[in-house]
Amino acid sequence: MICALKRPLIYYLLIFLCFIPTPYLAPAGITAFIILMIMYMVMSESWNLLGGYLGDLSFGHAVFFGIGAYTVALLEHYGISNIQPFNILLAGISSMGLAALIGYPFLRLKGFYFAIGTLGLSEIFRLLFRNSDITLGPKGIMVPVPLPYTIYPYFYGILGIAIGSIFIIYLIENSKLGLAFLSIKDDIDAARMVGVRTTAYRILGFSLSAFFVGIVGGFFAYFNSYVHPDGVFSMLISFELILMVYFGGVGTFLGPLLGAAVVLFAEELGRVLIQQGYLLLLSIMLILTFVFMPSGVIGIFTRRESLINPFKRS
Amino acid sequence: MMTTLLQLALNGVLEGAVYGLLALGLTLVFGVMRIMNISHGDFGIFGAYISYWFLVKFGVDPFISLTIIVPLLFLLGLLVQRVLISPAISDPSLQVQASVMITWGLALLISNGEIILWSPDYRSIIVPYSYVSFYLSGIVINLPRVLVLLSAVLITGFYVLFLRTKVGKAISACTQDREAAVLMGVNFNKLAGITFGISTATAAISGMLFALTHTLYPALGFQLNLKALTVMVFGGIGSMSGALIGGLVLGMAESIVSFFIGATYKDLVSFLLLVAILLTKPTGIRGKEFFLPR
Repeated sequence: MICALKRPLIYYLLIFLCFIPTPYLAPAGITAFIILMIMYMVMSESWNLLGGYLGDLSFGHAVFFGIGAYTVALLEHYGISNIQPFNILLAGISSMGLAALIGYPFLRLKGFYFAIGTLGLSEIFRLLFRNSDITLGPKGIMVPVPLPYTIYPYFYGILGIAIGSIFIIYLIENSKLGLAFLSIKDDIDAARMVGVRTTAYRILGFSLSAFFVGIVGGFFAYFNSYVHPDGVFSMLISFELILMVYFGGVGTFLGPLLGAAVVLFAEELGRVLIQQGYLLLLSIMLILTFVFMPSGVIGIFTRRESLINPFKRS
Repeated sequence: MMTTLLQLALNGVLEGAVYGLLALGLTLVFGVMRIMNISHGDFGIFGAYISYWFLVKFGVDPFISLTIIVPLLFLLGLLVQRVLISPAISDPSLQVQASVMITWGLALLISNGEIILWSPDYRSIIVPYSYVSFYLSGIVINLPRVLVLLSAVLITGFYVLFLRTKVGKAISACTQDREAAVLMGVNFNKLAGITFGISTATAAISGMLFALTHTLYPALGFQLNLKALTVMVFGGIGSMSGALIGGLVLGMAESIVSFFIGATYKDLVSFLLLVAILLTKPTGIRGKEFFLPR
C-alpha cells in the first residue's frame, strides 16, 4: 500500500489540489470547462485501464457514458429516486452490469474485430434509445436542476468523483490485478499457461472501466440537465477518449490526464477558430500523434518504449 | 403483395450494389495491408462532392466528371498511404490501433474539411434524368438507380479483369501470403500504395453513385463507412465475392425492414447484422481461416 504511493500519484494529487479553489477564482464559463476536463480525465484514465493495461481497444466507450447518463435521467424522469449520489452510483453499477453482460460474447473477439464490434455497439444503443418510447426517443430527457442553482456542488461533486475513482484506478493498476492485466496484454496464451484466469480478468477489466465511465455519465446528466441519445451515445466521445489516451501516452498513469486537458483545450480552440468544422484540429492532432509519437507526450519525455504494445498477442 | 415484395427486393438490390462496391475497396485494402480503413466512406463522399461541384460550376455530368475524379482520388490515396499510413503501421504491434485511429482521423479531417468547404447543408446531385422512371407491371424503376446498378456491375467486372493482370496477381498473392509474395519479388510498398489508390478511386465512384440517388452531406461518409464495414465483415474480410453478396444482403434487409417495421430502424439493421455476424461467425460467410483475429 505504501509502496504504491509513488511519484505519479503525488503529481496527480497535486493537480487535483490545484483545482480546489477554481470556482471561487475563475468565471463560471471556465469553471464549466474545467468540470468537463475533469470528467474527461476520469474517462480517459478508465479507458486506459482497458486499452493500455488489458490491451482491449474499445471503440465504443460512449455506450457506457450514455447508459450512465440515461440511468440517472430515467430515474429522475420517472420519479423513482432523486438522491443524487445514489443515482450516480447506480449509473455506474448499471454500466458495469451492461459491460459484464456484453463482455462475455464480445471479449471472445480480439483486435480489429473487437474494435469494429464495439464501434457498432455504440451505434446500436444510440439508435435504440432514439427510437424507444420509454426513453422519450429523439426528444431527450430533461433532468431537474436543484434550485437555487450554483456551480459549486457540481464542481466539488466531480472533483470528489475524480479523486476517488482515479485513486482506485491507480491502485488497480499497481496491484496484483494490474500485473495480471499486463500479463494478458503481453501474451494471453502465456498468461493462461501460468494460471491467470484470462476471460474472467478481461471481463472484470471491461466492467471496471465501464463503471467509472458510467459514473461520469451519470454526473453529466445532472451537469448538463438534459440527455439526448445523439449527444451521450455519440461516437465522438469514444474518439476523444482514444485520442486523449494516445496523445498523452497509452499505458502510463499521467498520460491520459495530460491528454484530456490538451485535447479538450484544442477542441475549444477549434470551436472558437473554425466553428463548424471544429474537429479539423483534433483530426490533425490525431494523425500527427500516430505518425510521429505513437508513445505519446509522456513517451517522449521518458525516452523509453512506454507500454505501447496493447495488441501484441502473437 | 407479390409486386410489393418484388419492388422491395429490387430496391434492395439497387441499393445494395453501392454497399457492395464500397466494401470491395475496403476488403482489397484489408487483404493487402491488414488495415481497417475507417476513412473509406469519407473518400467516397469527397469524390461525390467534387462531382457535385463539377455539376454546379461547369454543368458537367457526374459520369463524365468521373474521368477526372478517379485519377485524382487514386493519386490522393497513393499519397495518403505513402505519407501517413505506411509510416504509422511500420511497427506491426501497433498496426491495429494505428491504422484504425489514423484512418478515423482522416475521416474526420475529410468530413470537417467538407463542412468548411461546402458547408454542412444537404445537397443533391440533380441531373436531367434524375426523375425519369419506368413502370413495369406495377414495379417502379428509377433510371438513376439502374445506372448505379449498371456501373456497379461494370466496375466489378473491371475488378475481376484487373485481378488477372500482373499487378492484380501481385495483390492476390499479397492477400494470401505477404512474405511469400515479397520473396517472389513483389515490391510491397509500391503495391500497397497502388492498392490504396485503387480503393479510394472505387470509393469515389461508389460515393458518386450513392449521391446520385440520395442527398449529400458531410457526415454521410462515416455512416456509409460503417455500412461498408458491416458488409465486409458479413461477407468475410478479404473476400471479394463475399463483399458483393454482403452488399446485396444488407440492401435487401434494409429495404424489407424499412417497409415492414419502419424506416427509423433501417440503420439499426446493419449494426445488428454486424454484431450478430461477429458473435456467431467472425470469419463471415465466405471468409478464410487466416483472417481470424490474432
